[in-house]
Amino acid sequence: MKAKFNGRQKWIAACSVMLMLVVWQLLSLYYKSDFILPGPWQTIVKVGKLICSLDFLAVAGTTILRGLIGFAIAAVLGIGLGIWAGLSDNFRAFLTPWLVVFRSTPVIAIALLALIWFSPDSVPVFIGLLTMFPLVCMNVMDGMKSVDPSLVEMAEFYKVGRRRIIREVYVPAIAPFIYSGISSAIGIGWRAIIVGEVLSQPKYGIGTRMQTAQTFLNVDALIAWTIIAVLLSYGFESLLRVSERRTVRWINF
Amino acid sequence: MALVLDKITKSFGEVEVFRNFSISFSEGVITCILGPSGCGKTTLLNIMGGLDAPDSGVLEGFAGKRFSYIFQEPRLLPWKTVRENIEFVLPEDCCCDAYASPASRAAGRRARAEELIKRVELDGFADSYPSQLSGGMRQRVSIARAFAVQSDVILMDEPLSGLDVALKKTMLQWFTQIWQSDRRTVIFVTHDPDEAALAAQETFVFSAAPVRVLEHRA
Repeated sequence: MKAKFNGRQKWIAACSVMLMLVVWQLLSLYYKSDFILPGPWQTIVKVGKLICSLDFLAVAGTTILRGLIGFAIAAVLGIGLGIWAGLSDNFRAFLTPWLVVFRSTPVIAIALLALIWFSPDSVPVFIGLLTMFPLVCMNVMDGMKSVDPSLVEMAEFYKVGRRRIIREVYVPAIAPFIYSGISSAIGIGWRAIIVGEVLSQPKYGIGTRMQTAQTFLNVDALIAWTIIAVLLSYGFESLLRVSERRTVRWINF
Repeated sequence: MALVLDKITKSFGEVEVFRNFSISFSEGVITCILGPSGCGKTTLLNIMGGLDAPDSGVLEGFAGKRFSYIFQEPRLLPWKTVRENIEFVLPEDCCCDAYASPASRAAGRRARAEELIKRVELDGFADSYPSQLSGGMRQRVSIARAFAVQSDVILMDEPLSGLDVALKKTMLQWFTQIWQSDRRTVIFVTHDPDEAALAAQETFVFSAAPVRVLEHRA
């Protein structure tokens, strides 16, 4: 688990954010054009305006919903198949080529195919699912390799049923791996879903708005939506970390 | 009745651990097996407990017997508390009749676990996680777990080897005290003659592999 920042490090992180804003401001002063790079203040005002606009909830909510659907399917499949592959070498041999293919296919290739196969609303979900699933699944498989076989032997010796061994020995043992898989899946999946929205142009979606903003050279809106996407992703990460601390608290003792 | 292993043979690759080896353990007593490390004592326990199968030979008197195992390491689940670790190995209907409701079964398992926690003098640690306990306390939990299961035979594989001399002695005293209450068959493997002298009613001294019984004290 990542250690928390102490006071001094928080201060350094804050300075780092300030530096980012200063560089941004200097660049925007240099280009002197809202069509290339609007200043940070103007963009932050735009973020506020977007958040207060009538359809913000519909736009951001739809993207989040797509993310959640893709993520839920990827997590269930990834954890389930990952555990199965950890228990059975034969199934692992079967699953590995699929994972290799999914993991090494460029997101854009998946997107282009999905555009042909699916409706605009489900394209981003499909792309998100296909990018997140291998990450979760491979982490779970790594976790299964790390499970202490002597604990499994103990449980089998005491005639504990197979289901309970999976639920009470394997799953808690791989919980940290599940979390790290989910954490990288959310980061990468969220970006993939927005790429999907840019390409498929569903009615509502952060990606759709980015594409529109780009078409009309509303650079401030484009950057503002980007900031909103980053903030949402950061929010999910934080929620995940809180839930991880609660679930695997036995590690901290 | 006795637990009999008749003409057992077992090899690991080139190494022959048992060749036509026969031994008989009396029931209801603590039997110690003394021998140099690596001579096949653990293999013998694993064969008796069904974790390993002999290449050839016959086991008599094992049918229908339930076993507990006190491993060399405590083998506790780090994510379960002391009580949960003990409840984990208890069969669904271990402590009540077959018609009991799930809630009263759970209560029965809990009561059984707490009874054993008290007997190994870990009162107040039922809700602690293994990482919060010392090595000796963890091994006591593993002893409590072995006694909590209504087994016929307890197999012990050098469970005290990691502890200091004074602690070993008190642990053995506890162990024999708890054992007095139901006098199960115990097979206790060790390389330490002092441990054997303290606990055993019967002792076998093993040679290096392939194993022969050098001495049998009853």
